Amino acid sequence: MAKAPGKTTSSGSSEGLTFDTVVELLTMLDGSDLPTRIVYKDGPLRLEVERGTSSAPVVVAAPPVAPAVAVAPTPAPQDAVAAPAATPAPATEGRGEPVAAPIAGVFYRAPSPDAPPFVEVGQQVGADDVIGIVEVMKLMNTVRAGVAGTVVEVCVDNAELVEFEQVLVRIEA
Amino acid sequence: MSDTTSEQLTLQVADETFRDGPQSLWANRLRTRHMLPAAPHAANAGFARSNLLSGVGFEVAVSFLEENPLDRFRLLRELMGDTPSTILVRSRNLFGWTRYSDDVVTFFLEYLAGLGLDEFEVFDALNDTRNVEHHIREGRRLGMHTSACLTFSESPVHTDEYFASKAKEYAAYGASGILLYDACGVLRPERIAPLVAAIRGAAPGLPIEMNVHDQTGLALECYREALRNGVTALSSAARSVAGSNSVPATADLVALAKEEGVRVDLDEDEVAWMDSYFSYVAYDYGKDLAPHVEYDEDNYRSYVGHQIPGGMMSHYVGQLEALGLIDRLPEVLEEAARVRVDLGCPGMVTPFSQLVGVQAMLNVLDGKRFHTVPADLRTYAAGHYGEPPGPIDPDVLDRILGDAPAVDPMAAYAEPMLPGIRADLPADATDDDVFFALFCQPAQVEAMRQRPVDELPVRELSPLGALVGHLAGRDDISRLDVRIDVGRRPTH
Repeated sequence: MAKAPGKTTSSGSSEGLTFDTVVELLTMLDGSDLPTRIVYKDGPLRLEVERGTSSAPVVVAAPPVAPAVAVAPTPAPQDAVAAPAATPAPATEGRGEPVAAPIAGVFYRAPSPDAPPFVEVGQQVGADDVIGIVEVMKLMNTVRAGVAGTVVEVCVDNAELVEFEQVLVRIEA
Repeated sequence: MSDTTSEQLTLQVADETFRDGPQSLWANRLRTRHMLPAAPHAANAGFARSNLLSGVGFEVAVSFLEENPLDRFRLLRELMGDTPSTILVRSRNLFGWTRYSDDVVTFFLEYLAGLGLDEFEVFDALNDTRNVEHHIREGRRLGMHTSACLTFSESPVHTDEYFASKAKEYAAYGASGILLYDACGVLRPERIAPLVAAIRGAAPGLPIEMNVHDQTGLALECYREALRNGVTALSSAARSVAGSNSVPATADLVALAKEEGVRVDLDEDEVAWMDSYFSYVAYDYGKDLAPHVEYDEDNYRSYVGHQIPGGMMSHYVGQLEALGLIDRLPEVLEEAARVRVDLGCPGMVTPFSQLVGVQAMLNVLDGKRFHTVPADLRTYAAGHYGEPPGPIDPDVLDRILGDAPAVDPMAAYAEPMLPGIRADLPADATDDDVFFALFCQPAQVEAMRQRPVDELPVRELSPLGALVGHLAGRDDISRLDVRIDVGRRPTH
């Protein structure tokens, strides 16, 4: 009956997303009269899945009882997505607001090898402007600025592997 | 007995998420790599014991999943920490199909004890306790908790007195506990009080444990009666591998214990985590949640005659379809009920459920009873498996055996088998090799060893990682955008 000593409550949740919700989302995608686009928001996590052709999104509400993780006063997420054991690069050094990788993967500065980069140092950006792409398992995750301002630093080279939460660019408002 | 007032009782859950659950509902297709992430949570939950392996699980791992069940045991055991591990041992067959001698039983237990096995459950479907006496004595010698099973069945011979006499024999061998085991789910709540009293009287001081499946929707009500009668060591599993042909869900058992005023000393967050995680694993495997079974008097009556377990029933129906007999299923099931009684009411678990089911099929097909008789049934009738719970019908016995002599199998158990098995192996064979040689075909073991092995540490799968992984595997997703706001206040 004795419990293992040094218990760590790793709930396996990232930003309140639970396995139950994962099953709910996947089951929704399995349905025949599907929405073609699902947006899931819970605390700092925002997920957008698109199938086939695009149309108006169906917004999936977060569970009514938000887990403690989601309402806590913005601690950095403890339980990383595909985060390896290594600690991610610190997000607080340098000038400006850091824009961090939402997921571990390969960072691309441009939409295609021949195209110009999304952003360069000194460029003005809006909050919804794309600053790069993180590719994971052939899935392209666009990374948006999040804040309006001037790009003051691009911290990662093109096609470099990035870890979850690694700072990609910095933007000064 | 001082444990009869419910305020003093604490629920002791035997977790069957890794063993009985997947065995009863998923034909044991749950892979080690999907068990491992849950093991630290199971360890933290505070279960009284965790069941990690059985013979069927062992066989399916090797021959269907091509993964090493001993590695599974080692890794799970390591992650389980202070939670005692147990396994289910099938009588003289152990993890296989041969009836093994005492020396193999000893090797089997010593070897697993060396891998960290703390306890074991042992059953004989005929409740011929002589078959497992050696196991229990060896378990005691090795300092292991031994749960001696009373294989429950509903029949005129499976009376309270019958079970009491078996419990008494187990106690005499030195069993640590009596496990009332109802894999067919035919126990009725009103039977619990007299049955528990009879077992207690026969094996005073031994704890009573219970494993009841939910085929007829009565399992939780049986557990309620068990708690009211001071039996607190009960088996359950994570929800997606619980219910119906399996044991009840742990969360339901916890709720029940609270209703009954029994103390619950589990970490319920961890129980909930396991439910949530395995609901994802079920989705990943394409498994639906087992339907909730409501008790129904007519269903119970038609089922209790044959008691063919759910896992076998699906194969059975397939066989009947192949033979063009599916229209005659009701007739075949009625015949199965008769055959079961003719054969002395063996517990309807492997291999006897197959013996009864196949014979019923043959009887209907032939239009004559016991006209075609499989060799295994002759073996059974001759007494090789031990003594059936009730007498075999004399006419039937005559038709099956003819002039062939009856056999006492117990005498042969003293003859060593290990030297012959070792002789067929290379001189440098390890105990692992011997263990596999006992239960598996060499080609299967070879194929299994070609596969990559599971290793620790386990990388914990996060829900988001699971979701992204799944979406990546689909060809209908045109775009996925995942963003996490990292401690940064939105400025818009």
